[in-house]
Amino acid sequence: MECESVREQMLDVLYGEADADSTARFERHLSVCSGCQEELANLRGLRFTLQAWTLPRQRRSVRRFAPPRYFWAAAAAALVILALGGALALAGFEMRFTRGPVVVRLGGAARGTTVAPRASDELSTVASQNAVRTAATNGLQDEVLLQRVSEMIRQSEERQQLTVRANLTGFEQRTARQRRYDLARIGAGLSYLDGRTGQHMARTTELMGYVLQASNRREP
Amino acid sequence: MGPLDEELVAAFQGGDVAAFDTLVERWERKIQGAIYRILHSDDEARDLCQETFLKAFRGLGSFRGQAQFSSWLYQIALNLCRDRMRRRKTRTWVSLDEMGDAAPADRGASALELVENRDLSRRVAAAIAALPEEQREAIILKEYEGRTFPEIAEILDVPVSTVKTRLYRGLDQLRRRLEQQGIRGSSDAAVAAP
Repeated sequence: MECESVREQMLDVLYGEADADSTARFERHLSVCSGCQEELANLRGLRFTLQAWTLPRQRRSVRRFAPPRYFWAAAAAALVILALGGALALAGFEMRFTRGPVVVRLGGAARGTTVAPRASDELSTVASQNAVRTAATNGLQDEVLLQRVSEMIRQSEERQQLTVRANLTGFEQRTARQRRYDLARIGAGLSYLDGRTGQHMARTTELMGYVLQASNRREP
Repeated sequence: MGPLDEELVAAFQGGDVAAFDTLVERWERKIQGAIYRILHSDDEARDLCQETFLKAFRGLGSFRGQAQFSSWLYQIALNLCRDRMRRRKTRTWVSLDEMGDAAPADRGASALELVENRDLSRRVAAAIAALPEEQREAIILKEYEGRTFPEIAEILDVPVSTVKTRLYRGLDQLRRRLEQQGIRGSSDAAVAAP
């Protein structure tokens, strides 16, 4: 009964998780109980045996979740270009090149009535593009996640195909092995029967010989 | 020593996705190893390891530290393993071919020792695979993952005393099974019958 009650302490001692009090209590019990001494020794031996199960060499299965650093640099550059474009559009930037020198002009006041609506169009376009970019940045984790999922599905399918192929090959090999084994057994069985029949015939002939000898001896 | 898991979790929750990569690097091998020991398949171990971290990535935003991060990860992995086992609808099988590429434990061992070790490795794996699920999980978490009893209780969501009962019963069964095969553990060496 006491052995049952110290079992938990035995596990704590076995795995080095016992505090000083329980260790002392358990050792007191151990000093008078040969059954528990043997049990502890057996468990230690078993733990040693269990260490024989080693893992195969592992390959990494999980790729990076965070986007690479240059992604942020590219995103920042795109935003700067967009902002610059927006600013130029607001300032009425105009560039012409029609059979003459290149003409660059800021603040297209000469065509105020036509430029103003264009600038507002540009402004709304830039604003909507910025909104899209912001949404894209916010939804970055989802995007990364989706990419990761599709990549994982692809890898998984490849691996499954490989496994199926390997299993089929293994199945063929096992079938061939089993066939060879069955044929060998059938052959051995036939030889055995053949041997038995031969022995039986020999014994019959031998008996017949005795019978003949006996009958010959009685005749005179 | 790098930042604690809890610090990395907080950083991720604050928007630092790279913090999650550090957590992956820290726990990937352990999680993959644990899954391998439960399912005995390298491919499935890698698949489910990916899935474990994917689930963690999705769920970490709402993780409130009710358990250790590592215990939470092990919980996800074990649940995925249980689902996979149920889907297989058969008991755990051990592919001896696959077990054959186990890494040699000792580089200085002779060829004979390596063969013997590999054989022992297969037998131990097969004996553990034949245990009931609860005992097998307790043994793997304790013996191979080195989790403490309170951590295992957290992962399996049972009291510590239940963990110890499952572990003790599992070890007892294992010892009997291995002894039936002539394998007796000793503190010097594990002896396998010829």
